[in-house]
Amino acid sequence: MTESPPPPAPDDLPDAAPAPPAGTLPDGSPQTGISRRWILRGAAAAPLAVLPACGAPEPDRTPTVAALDFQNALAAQPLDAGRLPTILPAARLNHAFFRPVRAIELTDDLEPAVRFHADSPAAEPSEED
Amino acid sequence: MIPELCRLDARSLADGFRSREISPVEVVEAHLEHLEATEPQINAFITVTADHARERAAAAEREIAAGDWKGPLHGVPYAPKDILATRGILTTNGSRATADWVPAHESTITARLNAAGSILLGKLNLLEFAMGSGVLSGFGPARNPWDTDYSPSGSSSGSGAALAARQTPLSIGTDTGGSIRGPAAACGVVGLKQTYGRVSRFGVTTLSWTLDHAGPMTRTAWDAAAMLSVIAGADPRDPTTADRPVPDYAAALTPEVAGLRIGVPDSGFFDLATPEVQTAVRAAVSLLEAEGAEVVEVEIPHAHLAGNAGWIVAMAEATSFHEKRLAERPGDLDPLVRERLEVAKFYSATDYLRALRLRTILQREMAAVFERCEVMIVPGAFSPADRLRSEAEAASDVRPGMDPDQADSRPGTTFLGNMTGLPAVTLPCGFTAEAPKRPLAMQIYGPPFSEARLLSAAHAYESRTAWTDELPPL
Repeated sequence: MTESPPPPAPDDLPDAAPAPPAGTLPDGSPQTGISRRWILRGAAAAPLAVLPACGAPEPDRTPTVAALDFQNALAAQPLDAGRLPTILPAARLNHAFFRPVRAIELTDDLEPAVRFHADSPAAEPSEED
Repeated sequence: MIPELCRLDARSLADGFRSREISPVEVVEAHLEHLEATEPQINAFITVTADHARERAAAAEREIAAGDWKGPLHGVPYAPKDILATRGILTTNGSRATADWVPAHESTITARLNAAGSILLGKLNLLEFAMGSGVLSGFGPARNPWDTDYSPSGSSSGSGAALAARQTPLSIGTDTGGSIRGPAAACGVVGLKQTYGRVSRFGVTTLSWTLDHAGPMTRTAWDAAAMLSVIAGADPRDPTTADRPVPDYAAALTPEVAGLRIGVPDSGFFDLATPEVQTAVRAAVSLLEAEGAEVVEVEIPHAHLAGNAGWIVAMAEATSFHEKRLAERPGDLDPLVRERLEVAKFYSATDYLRALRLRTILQREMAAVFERCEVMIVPGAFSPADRLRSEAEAASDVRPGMDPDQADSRPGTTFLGNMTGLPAVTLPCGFTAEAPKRPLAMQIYGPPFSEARLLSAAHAYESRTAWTDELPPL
């Protein structure tokens, strides 16, 4: 996710079950890129009637179950489709949180601060140590 | 009634141990008895390591008597948030999903505290994985000792509650968006989120790699300084730690503030606080000004977006970290944790990067602030502690009656520190006038690695006030 070294997370934090072998989907079927079968599997979990409305969701449109379903179908570990109506209000809430962040103007010189580095210019004002 | 030995802060305990007026054994026993009596009300501890603590206390007593004094934490009890791995000792993360986890490794922080002679009393309650509701988290809510119908805030809820209840003189919290400073404010104790990289995160279960910090929670600034000197410093197991010398922060404390330039922003901080909080924090600034500090107005134009953007970063990274657990054991998660992780699966990469670019803006704006002043004082929280939520309220970020499409503000006074990596210390500066009596708090920010100055400013304020001496009605 970031250019920084791996984090010091505990390496033996328990997980429920081993991850599927590389190259397989969670249901054990072979992963061959984003296959038509995979997309259909996701689509099968939702009413077909919503699919024409999915298309490519507009970035700033308030989320809908159909839009979530479209994204969910493409996820590596999709949620149970039955959860989507449940989380929709919270998805809308998060969308509202992001609205003012999306509204600010970002100039070309603004690189993402992926980490605070002690030896970066941001750390320069120190005179304490 | 809080026992006399439990009322002593770490500095007083250390003085008593060295002079042999009190012993680590009797102090540990007093704390074990006190927490046994108060836990039914407070629920701050998930695990109590009584036998271990008694053994360590006996050893500390022998060592100090033999002249082998390890420093100011030798023999002093501590209890960390139960998200720090402790080898061979249950580490639950406050979750049913990891309720039986006994790590095979020790976090760097607890290893350093143990090496300094500090004595583990137990592991403290928290909001599940540092992001849950508390109410529906794996071990139930910790309660605020000032009134047990009220929340100690979170996510280091047990740390704030245990310190205020005098169940432990020292704790460690973690802070990704304010989880050290929020409970410090709500419970009337001191919470330090030091500069990113000052303290190792090895062995601290991740919430957000970019924003996570783990730091001291104590009853006084002196105690936080002593604790920071022990836990700070480079760690090869956490490559983000800074390879800088660690000063003796406690020895560097001074009560003098003459000439100290204090920045005070209005917009986004004081204007959003309750009148009582505004009055208390402004009175604290005035007190320091009367002692010779200089007050200047400062401005952080994008500070109001720190919480919005920080939320994107925190939840996106949390979902990446917990992705497998979410897929395989969703029913074991606090419903609020589950909802937050599930929703973050739908964040876009461009939103995440936009939030990280806003981080650059905030870092630049804060660098400009600290060209004009040496510390910046803002409210520790906008309001005193809230009532504990009902289970229905706690199950979702969308509260009953809320229009989620209009909730576009995520104000707060703490996320700025996580988004910039800058240090900040929160300490009490008053109490509410109306019942129930609850603490009010101020927060002091500084430039990178200015912990000595921040703690000195806090110490200077404490030495002129008596808020830290107030006891909750237990």
